Amino acid sequence: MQRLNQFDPTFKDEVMAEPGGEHLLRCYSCGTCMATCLVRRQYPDYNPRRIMHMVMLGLRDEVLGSHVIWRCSACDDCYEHCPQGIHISDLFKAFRSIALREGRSPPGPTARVNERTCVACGLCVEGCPYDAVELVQKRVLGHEKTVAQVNAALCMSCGVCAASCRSASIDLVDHSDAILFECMQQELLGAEVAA
Amino acid sequence: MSENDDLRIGVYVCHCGSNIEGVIDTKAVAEYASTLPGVAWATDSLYCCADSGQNEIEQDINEHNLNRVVVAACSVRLHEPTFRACVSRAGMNPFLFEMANIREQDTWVHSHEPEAAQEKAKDLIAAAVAKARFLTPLDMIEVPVTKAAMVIGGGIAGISAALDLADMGIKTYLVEKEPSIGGRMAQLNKTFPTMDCSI
Amino acid sequence: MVDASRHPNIELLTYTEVKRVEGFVGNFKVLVEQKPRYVITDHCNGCGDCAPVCPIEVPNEFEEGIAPRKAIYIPHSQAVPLVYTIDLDNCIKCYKCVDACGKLDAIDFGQQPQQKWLDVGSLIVATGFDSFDPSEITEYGYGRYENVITTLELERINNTAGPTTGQIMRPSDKKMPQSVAFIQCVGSRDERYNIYCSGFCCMYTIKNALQWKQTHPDSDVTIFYMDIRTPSKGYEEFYRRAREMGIRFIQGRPSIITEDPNSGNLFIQAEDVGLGQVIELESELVVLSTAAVPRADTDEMGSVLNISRSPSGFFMEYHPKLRPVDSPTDGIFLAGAAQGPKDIPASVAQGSGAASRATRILNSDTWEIEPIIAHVWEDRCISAKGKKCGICATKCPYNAIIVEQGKAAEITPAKCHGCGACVAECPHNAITQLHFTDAQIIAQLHALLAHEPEKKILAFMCHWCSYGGADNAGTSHFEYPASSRGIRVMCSARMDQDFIFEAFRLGAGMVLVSGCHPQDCHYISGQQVGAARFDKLAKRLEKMGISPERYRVEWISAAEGAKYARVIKEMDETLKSLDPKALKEEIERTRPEFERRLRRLPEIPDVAEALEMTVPA
Repeated sequence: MQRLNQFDPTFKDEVMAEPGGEHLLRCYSCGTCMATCLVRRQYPDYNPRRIMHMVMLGLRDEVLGSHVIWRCSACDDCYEHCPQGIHISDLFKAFRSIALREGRSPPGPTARVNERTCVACGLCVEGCPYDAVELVQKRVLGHEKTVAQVNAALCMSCGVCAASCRSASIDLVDHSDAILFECMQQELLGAEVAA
Repeated sequence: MSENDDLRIGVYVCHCGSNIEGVIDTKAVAEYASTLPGVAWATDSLYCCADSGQNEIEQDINEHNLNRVVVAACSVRLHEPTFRACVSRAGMNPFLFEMANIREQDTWVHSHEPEAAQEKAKDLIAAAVAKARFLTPLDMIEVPVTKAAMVIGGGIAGISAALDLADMGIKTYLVEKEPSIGGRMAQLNKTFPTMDCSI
Repeated sequence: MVDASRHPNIELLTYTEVKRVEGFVGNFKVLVEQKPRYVITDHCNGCGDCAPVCPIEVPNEFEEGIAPRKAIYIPHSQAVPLVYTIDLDNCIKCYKCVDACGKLDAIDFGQQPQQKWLDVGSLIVATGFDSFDPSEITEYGYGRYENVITTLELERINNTAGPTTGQIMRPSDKKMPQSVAFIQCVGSRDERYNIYCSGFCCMYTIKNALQWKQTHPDSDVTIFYMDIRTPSKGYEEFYRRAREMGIRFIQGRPSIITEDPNSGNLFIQAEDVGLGQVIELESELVVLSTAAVPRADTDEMGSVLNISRSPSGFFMEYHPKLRPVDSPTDGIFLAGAAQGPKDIPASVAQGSGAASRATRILNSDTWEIEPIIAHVWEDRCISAKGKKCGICATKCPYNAIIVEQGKAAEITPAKCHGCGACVAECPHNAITQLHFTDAQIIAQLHALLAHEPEKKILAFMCHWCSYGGADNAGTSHFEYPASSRGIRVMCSARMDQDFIFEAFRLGAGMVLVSGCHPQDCHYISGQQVGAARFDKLAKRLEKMGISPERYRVEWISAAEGAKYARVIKEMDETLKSLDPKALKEEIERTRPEFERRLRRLPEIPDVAEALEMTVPA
């Protein structure tokens, strides 16, 4: 049995202080988000309604340590249908920001930048549908340099940045160009053998 | 009225939308009604209580010289006053009107045996027609009215009623069992949704 | 409250009870009894010098018993009227109050109950509700655990005019609790207690939680609910405000509350439906949202006023949708929670509605009532022939009949309410009831039993209750077999023995006689007149050879649709279980005796014609 008093009642305040977390408490657990969600079809354990309820109860570790907070693809289908007007993908960004700040890392691949080869052309910044990439001033190998930087809390691993990069300086962990090429080759080889 | 020759009873079998029509065949029932002694006119009607239904009854009373009206529809507790007023408008004494309850006491409780419900409807209409043969015109009794009211209970509902009555110039006795008025509401702190005080 | 006490058209009768109501619409006579306060209202100025010297302390009902009052008391400081009352059950007659009162000389131990009759044209019943006693639900520990309280107790604790001057404190240690849990639907939506939704508890709990959170933002406020119901204007917005303030809403009905005897804290166990898990919450205070229940004296009041109760126990309206403010009795209206749980806006609205419905009558010089009264055929009354009779007068619930030997019985139309008791009881068939004449009812009987009578249940119903019960079965769609055929009269008192004989003579398979429960009768004692007759009749019918199961008497209120359906169903089963051949034989065998007893029936005006009527198949 869960003891409610052992939970962290300040967790909801922490979430609400985060950009995107403001409207958490409007939720009355109707479940429209869950019924609308496309991600849920792929991952049956993903339930945005339940996660919001857990946040309100103060189940801090369970929420932040769970892989499900990284699942939201920010399609915003739920936002369109939410009767309380809660921007749920924003809420999930808030959960992730807190998780990252605490040193937790996303379970899946996010985009990474090769800062040595990055020329700061900004194509990735323009292309990212989630505003997850920005250009920052940084010291790279002892030199002050402008480079792209990915916010893992916002990155949805779509790969648009990697595809648009002219210097092949940005790709997805586990889905780098090299790995993808290898996969393709194997597919093609397999097809030849079969033929 | 004892001479059958003078009787001209009109019978109306109401569909009540699908409430009655959905279970029994009102047309067939109306046809049966037309064979009952004393019945001069029998028909079915989509909604007897609607404007159109009432107009039809009023017109028929004059056109067919009806001197009794039977409406087979809902409960007397619901629409007897409606139809009494309707026949009065056509110049008929309201007590020459009779009702057969084929909705609350028939189709709404026998929907699983429509044939038996239809037989019951025919019987109930035959009984209403039989009673109608012996109806006599009556006049309402006028009684005087004492211009005073009593409200029993001095809570918020009672106080509200008493104040309205009193403002309309009516002497009102507000009776409260307890030593003071206010009831439950006086016990409350603030009240929703405006959060103002209760007293 | 003060407006009501100062209005020139309102006469406030506090500490007063309604004892009897007589008369009819426009012309009610009400007997009220003012209980003795032992304080002269005109002398007492509410100074309050008497209470401090009184040595007696008892729990103050107004404060839900959480604060004391003296034996001489006002319920609260803003009481209207501001007049003290002595509670003689607890007073020890030390007379210290008399000394304290001094020159005002307001205390009078010689006061007696004062009764008086008042004439009114209309009555409005606004007797309110009681609060459910949660100690019945043992798993919540009310009465056992000090820190489990009711909403009304919280209202008093959290009230600046209350015993704690608005400082919230819990009973066990008089400290401000840092956490509070509200539990909804205590005694409502629960088959064990009351099945209805009490309506306003969601909102008053949200109100209390919100108020708590506003004054103590750091405390932990939780509401355990099954469904949150906020149907009126501005209510849903209020609920959202409560959520946004951080009040915790947990969907789940607690199964048990336990107490830590050392801390006085409570442990609440419930399934959190949103989480899909059982949780436990430790809380310093638990507040039970108790249901509104009918007042304990509803039955008593109902029989004084002749108005019946709904299945929920609250007073029943004439029609739930179309006449929600009218009682079934003309000229009597309902307002507030007496008719069903209601919040303040709805109570105020219904109060105004009732006032307006009453004014319809009160602003007219005269009011029309139905002429369905009794009528004497003078040539048939044996009193007119100089014989001694007067049975009609003894059966009339209204003393509306004057019988003088040598003269025909005389009905006073203004007093006759049209129950038909005299009509049915007259041994010489000398009285009839307009619009419910013998000929009319016999004509109905013949029509209903014209074909296959042995397969039918002939049901006599009274207008107010059992006919309403049959209607209620209809509106509730409670199915029952289609073998019954009903005849409506105004009161069971009108159900003449001859009608029942005639039904059996015609070969009815079954006869049901149904009417109001005694306390619901609309004609004071009409039902009793009928009941006595039906009792005797049962034995008589048996002697005449009618199987006892073919005759049944049932009292069915207008709210008892389920009972009406059940009675017909049972009778239908019984009828079907009878051997058809034996039944036919019984009908044939008993017919001559009924014919003998009914031989004088055709002498009644128009009845001969009704008896000859034929009905096509």
